[in-house]
Amino acid sequence: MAKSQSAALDRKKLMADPVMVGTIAVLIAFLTLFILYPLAILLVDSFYGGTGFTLDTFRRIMAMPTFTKAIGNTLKVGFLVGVLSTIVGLLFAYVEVYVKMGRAVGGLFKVVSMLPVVSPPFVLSLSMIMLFGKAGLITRFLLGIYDNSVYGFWGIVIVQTLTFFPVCYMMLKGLLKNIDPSLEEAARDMGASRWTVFATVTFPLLLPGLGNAFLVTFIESIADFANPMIIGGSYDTLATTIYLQITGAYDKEGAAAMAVVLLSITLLMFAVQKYYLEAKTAATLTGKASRGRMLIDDRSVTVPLTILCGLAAFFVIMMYACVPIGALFPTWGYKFTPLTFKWFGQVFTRYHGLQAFRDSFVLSLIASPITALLSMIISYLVVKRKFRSKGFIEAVSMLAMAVPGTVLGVGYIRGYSGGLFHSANWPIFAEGGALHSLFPNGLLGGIYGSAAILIIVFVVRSLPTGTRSGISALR
Amino acid sequence: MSKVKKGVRLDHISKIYQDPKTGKDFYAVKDTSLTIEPGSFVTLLGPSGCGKTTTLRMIAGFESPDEGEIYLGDEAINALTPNKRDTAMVFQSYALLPHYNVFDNVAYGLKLRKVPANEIKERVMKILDLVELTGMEGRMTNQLSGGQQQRVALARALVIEPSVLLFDEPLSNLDAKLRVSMRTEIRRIQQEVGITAIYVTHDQSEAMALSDNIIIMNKGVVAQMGSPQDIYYHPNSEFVADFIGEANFLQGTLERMDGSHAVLNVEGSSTRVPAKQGMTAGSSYTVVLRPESAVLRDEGGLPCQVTLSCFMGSYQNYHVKVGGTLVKLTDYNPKNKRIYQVGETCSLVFDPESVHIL
Repeated sequence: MAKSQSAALDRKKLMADPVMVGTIAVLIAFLTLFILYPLAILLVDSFYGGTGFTLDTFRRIMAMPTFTKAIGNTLKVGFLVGVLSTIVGLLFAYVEVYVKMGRAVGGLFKVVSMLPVVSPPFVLSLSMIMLFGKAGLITRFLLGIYDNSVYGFWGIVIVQTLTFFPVCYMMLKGLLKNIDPSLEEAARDMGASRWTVFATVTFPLLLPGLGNAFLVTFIESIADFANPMIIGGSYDTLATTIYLQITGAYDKEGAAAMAVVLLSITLLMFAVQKYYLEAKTAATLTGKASRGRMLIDDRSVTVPLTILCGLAAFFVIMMYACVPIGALFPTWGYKFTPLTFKWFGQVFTRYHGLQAFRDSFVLSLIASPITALLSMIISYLVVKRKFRSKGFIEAVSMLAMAVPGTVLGVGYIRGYSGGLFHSANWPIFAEGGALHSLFPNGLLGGIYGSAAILIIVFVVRSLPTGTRSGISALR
Repeated sequence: MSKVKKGVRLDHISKIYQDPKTGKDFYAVKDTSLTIEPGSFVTLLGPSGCGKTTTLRMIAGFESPDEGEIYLGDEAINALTPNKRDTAMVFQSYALLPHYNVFDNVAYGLKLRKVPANEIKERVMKILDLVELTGMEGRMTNQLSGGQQQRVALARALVIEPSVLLFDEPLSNLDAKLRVSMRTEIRRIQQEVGITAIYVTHDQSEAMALSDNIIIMNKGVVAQMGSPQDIYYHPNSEFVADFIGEANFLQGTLERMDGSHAVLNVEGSSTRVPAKQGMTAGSSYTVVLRPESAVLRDEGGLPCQVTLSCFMGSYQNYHVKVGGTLVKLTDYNPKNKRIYQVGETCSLVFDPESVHIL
């Protein structure tokens, strides 16, 4: 066939470029070692009981009430957070795309809906406790409630919704902008009220996109570790249970099996989202806007929507403002005056504070250019070149998006603490083995507990974001 | 249709927009008044940015006029939202709802009006028959060709029996051949239903083929309104003459009046043309000469020299110089006629009744 000739020629051209071949080889090695291998080792650990295939580990963890409860908790939180984030995201996206409002108000809403994206993960949990906890500024000092508990289900739901709704907002904003305004005008022209237009045109067209946004936040919520850890109290989710299983009970096999369960849930949702809903969204919303949208300036619409968004915005701003302001109080919840900078001094002088700052900073400084470079190379290869392992590279770098941080963490512990494939136990590397002096911790075991593995984790975790934006920029 | 036909009246309508680049306000439509007779087919014609679409969208209610009042029949409709107006629009992008099939798209407006299901079915099928789409009612809209989609859009607008049908460049997404057959179709349906129609286009042949009356707009104001013949033969400005068909402009000075005719000096030759009111001797006037209303002869008219001679099949295309003025001519059915070649000197001859003084 003529086609085989062009394939052969493509291969020949690629092989004539040693830099390219080398880059691809390094990429495949990196992705295999640091994404596929840690996940694979989890599967091996949880199904291999020393002698052969076994389901014992799964039977054991399924018998733990803490674990089965955590599954239920996680799904409950994830579902509610998914629904609420989608609603709040839709509200902000709709107001931005459809409603006429002053530049200042519109700008404020835009900032508020982007703020959580750039903030560190647990800032909102912290604010939540500071504002609404037992000694919360609002609960105790404003309302005089002394026994309010923010720890648990509602704490997690509120904080995660505020953290993740910007993702929905951005996805839905893009979709709403793609709806041809003349569709809605036509419906209106046929006699539909604004509400009917929304119910019969905008909403059905947006439905796959809403499902998409829901699943993405569902995954994010399930994968989240920091917020449930801080504000969950005794309400355990899968991510925190796995962490406690490994740090508290020191049950590595059990934790690995739990991680496999968590990973299966997120992967399933990721698959539905990626291959079913995304295709459907693209199918219904291919239209290009033929002319600008007439913004709604009807007060019966703008006033309630502005109030709703305003309330949400006020809440978000309050949450963020309380952190820098709270840092100035002598003792939060007890003594509010005079304002002091003493905590800032302490943070840098005590408990290795300065070192923690420096380490975080240096690690990020090393990890970000590596991530940028890798994402750039991957995007370039995926968009512009044709070669056989392209599908593998694209799929694995996107896979990292569906892998919760806790799962990856457990995978790294299992995968590298005893060297590659537990190689520290192999006779050749073990005490007295021929290569023990060269590799005391087995193959690659040396990176465990070092800065190197942290940097690798950082890179792997942010690779999907970088690759996704790189690909869409190049296409 | 049993309904009383209604016309549309615009009374000193203005619409002000802000230029997105400079931030300055400008008139998209300025102090425009016009009357559209009940049951007539009227076209708003003009170059892009002339205000024609804005005018149409103000009638539909998508834009609000900054000044003036719009009347549908005798009713002032400025304050009515689009869904309360007795108008229906056919959009350039068809604007069919992609999640509905053909039947549901057409039935959309009737369902909103709470028409009983069996009556909906009957009316939708009748309209689909009118636009020749019987049997297509179960199709999704993306399974239809562009022409079929536009028929569905037309059916959807017709089925709610509006007083006025509005068209916003409905054919500009179709290919040339389909455009021609669709416009005959639109005219046929409008005549059959007897509905008032307002049609926006920048295509003059579409305007000619469809309209009882053409309204030519330029820079937000009405340049001229009249029947196609009126506008073609008696344009009131160089803009209108040039926009509708092709036009040559000859400058001439009035020598004397001769009854209902004027004798002008055009490039040194005396030329008799129909006079217009209030002409004064010695003043300069512009004569509009259509390319098909003059021919080349060996003598007997304005002396000229051929600068282009080109066979186009149905006609011979000439460019000639009359003094310093370039004149374009189309000589139809050139077979067996004397063909003038480039560089020849000859004479430009026309019937005085076929020209028009601006």
